[in-house]
This record gives sequence, structure tokens and C-alpha cells, in this order.
Amino acid sequence: MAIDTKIAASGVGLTQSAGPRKINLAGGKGEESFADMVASAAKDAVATGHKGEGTSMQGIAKQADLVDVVTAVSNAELTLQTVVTVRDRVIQAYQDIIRMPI
Amino acid sequence: MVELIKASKISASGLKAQAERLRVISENLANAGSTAKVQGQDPYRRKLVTFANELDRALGARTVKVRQVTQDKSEFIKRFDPGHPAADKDGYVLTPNVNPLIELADLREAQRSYEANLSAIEISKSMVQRTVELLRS
Repeated sequence: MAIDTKIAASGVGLTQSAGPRKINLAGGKGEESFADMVASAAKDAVATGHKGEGTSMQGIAKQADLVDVVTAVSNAELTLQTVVTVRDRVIQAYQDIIRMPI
Repeated sequence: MVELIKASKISASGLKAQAERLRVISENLANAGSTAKVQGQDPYRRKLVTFANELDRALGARTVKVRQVTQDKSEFIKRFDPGHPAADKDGYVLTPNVNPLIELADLREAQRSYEANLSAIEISKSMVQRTVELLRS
């Protein structure tokens, strides 16, 4: 559950940070495709998180092998780390632009 | 990144295969003294595990799996024990063709192989993490 909400939050953060960027930077096509890329990465992350959770639940119900649970959960963990790091980086870049003296 | 995650999945298949091997070895060890109930029947027969590689199309790589669990066709060991219910007219009992020393060696090999796969998973995971770390700082 926690993984889900964190990924969802990171997804929201990404789209919010990507939205103003388009307007600020006069909506270049490169920006748009970057936002798309980030959005699809976030979707993949959510899917991986769901898979990890589903396998964990099956593992608790003794329907899945422990090895499957471990691989699914560590995959979800790695994807979450990647998404969170990229999001932090994007937000940091955005904040740097905001703080820039005009 | 994707390759490293694939690597950990391949190693996971190795973990499963070795776990099944461990199960069969412990079956052999536990049944090392299981004789027949009456004369003329066979005692426990030692089981063997063979492995096979299997193409995982989703991964695009060859994973390992247990091909089949076969039976060891070697002779049973004869032991002189006239009081045993399964003893023949000369007083000999057929005992399983399990040699605990060989089973222990197999056990150790399975353990080493399992550990090797675990290390491969750990390494691929830490490599992904270290790559992500590059973005921080």
C-alpha cells in the first residue's frame, strides 16, 4: 500500500512539475516528449509496484514461492528508488529555474 | 538497468531449481533407513535431480529448471538382520541405495550453488542502486 501511494505521489509530482515547464518554456516539442517519457516511466513504476504487492499478498496466502515474492518486491523497490530519484532531480531543476533572479 | 533486472530473474530461477534439489536430497537422507514392509518388496529408492535450461521468451534468456526427478537404478544394499520383518530366508534385508556421505556432498553442492545465485542477485541489485545513486548528490 505504502509503495502505491508513494509512486502515485511521485507521479503527481512529475506531472505537476512537467506541466508548468511546458508553459514557461513556450511548449517546445522536446519538453512535451520528456513529460511523456516521465509519465510512462511513472506508469511502469506503478505497474511494477502493483505486481510486487500482488505477489506479496499471494506469498502471505502461501500461494507464491518466497523467491518470487523477493524478486517482485526488490524489483518494485528498485523501480521506486529510480522514480523517486528522477522526480527529485526534476523538481530540483524546476526549483532552480524558479529561484533564478530575473 | 533492464539487463540487471533480467539477471536477477535468471538467478531467481537458479534459486528455485536448487531449492527443489535440496528437497530431493533431504528426501533421500530422511529415507536412508526406510526398508520394505514385507519380504519381496523394494525399499526406498534413491532419487536424482537433473536440470535443464529453458528459454524464457519474456526475458529473452535461458533460465534453469528441474528437468525431472529420476530414480537411481543402482543395487540396493544388503544387510544381515534376521529379526527384520522384511528379511529373506537367509536373514538379509534390502536397505535403500542411499549413501549418506554422497547425499551430504550433494547437499553441500546445492548449498554452494544457491549461495552463488544469491550473490549474483545481490550484486545486480546493488549495481542498479549504485547507478541510481549517480543521480543524487
